[in-house]
Amino acid sequence: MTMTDLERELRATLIEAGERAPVAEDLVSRAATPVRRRRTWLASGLAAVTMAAVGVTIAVTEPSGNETAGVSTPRTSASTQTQTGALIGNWRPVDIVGFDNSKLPPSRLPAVRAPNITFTSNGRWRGSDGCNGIGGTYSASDDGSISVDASGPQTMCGGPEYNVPHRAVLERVARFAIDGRSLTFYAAGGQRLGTYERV
Amino acid sequence: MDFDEYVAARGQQLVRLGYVLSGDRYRAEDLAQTALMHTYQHWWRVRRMDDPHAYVRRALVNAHVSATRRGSSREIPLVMAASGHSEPDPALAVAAHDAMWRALTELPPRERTVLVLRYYEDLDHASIAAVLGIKESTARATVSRALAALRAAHDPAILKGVGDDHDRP
Repeated sequence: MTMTDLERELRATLIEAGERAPVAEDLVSRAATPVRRRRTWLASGLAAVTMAAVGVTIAVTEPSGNETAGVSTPRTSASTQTQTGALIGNWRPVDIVGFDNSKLPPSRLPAVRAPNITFTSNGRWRGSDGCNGIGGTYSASDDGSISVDASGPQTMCGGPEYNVPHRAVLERVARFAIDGRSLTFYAAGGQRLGTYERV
Repeated sequence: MDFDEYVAARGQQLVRLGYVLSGDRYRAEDLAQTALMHTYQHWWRVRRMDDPHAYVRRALVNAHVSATRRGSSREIPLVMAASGHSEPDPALAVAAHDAMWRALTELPPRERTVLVLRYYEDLDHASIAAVLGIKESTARATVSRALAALRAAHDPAILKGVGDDHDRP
């Protein structure tokens, strides 16, 4: 196609205008900071509420080295905490048994449509397997036992997307343990099913 | 490619596109930042695409279109800022570009956007259609209509020696 004089003039004008654009500094942090700030604010608020209301729960390891799910050590006698309190919140998968964990997104990215699960205080859970929204109900106890209704349809995704098998983990889970920012699910036989990190 | 690497390579290009679309220095940065914020949230997926920049460019253009629909993008300067570049005939060139720029600002946002995508980003009609989520025939017709409107609005006296007979696509 032959470009007309008008088109050539238009192009020159646009290129010249583009050269007058401001030089933007620090676009990387400006793109990421608002998200990080929001997440930090949410995490801080959740942490403050949790710490004020409950105490500190830690997971312990038996002398044999086998991880034991759901052992908590309240810091104060008035504490009602609690594995179930610590379970509430948003978690991202970091290591799921039987899954190619190299497909999981890097930790520094926010969990917006990235694979994640959230446990709420009203006995419900929701999340994303990286492609579909998923959710259901759950029941957990402070002794580390948990049962999850993870039934429901799942749409398989192709291309660059994939399905993180949250359902496969939650359908088999019988116990859970929280160690700092780490949440690990275990089957009834004690086999580890997957580990998540608090977002 | 990491997000940081992408921004280092393409960030300023996005600001330029934002400026050409909006004509406003601050809005240009806002558009680039909005597009990059959106992209950052999905980067783990975007990075696997064949052309991540096309995704970001589309996010920027969509942000611009949304802003114009809200009626908040009517601040395009009628005269371009002074240039520091030397040109064969600076006075004539600046005047011609100012006139063209003024004519561009008078176009409807959609027509101005397709002209920017066609003649600044060098996209073909199919790619323009993909960016704007419209049919290729619609993109082609909009470009043609925008050029006709530009031709009608543009003051030919400023473009010395340019004849209308040679301007038809």
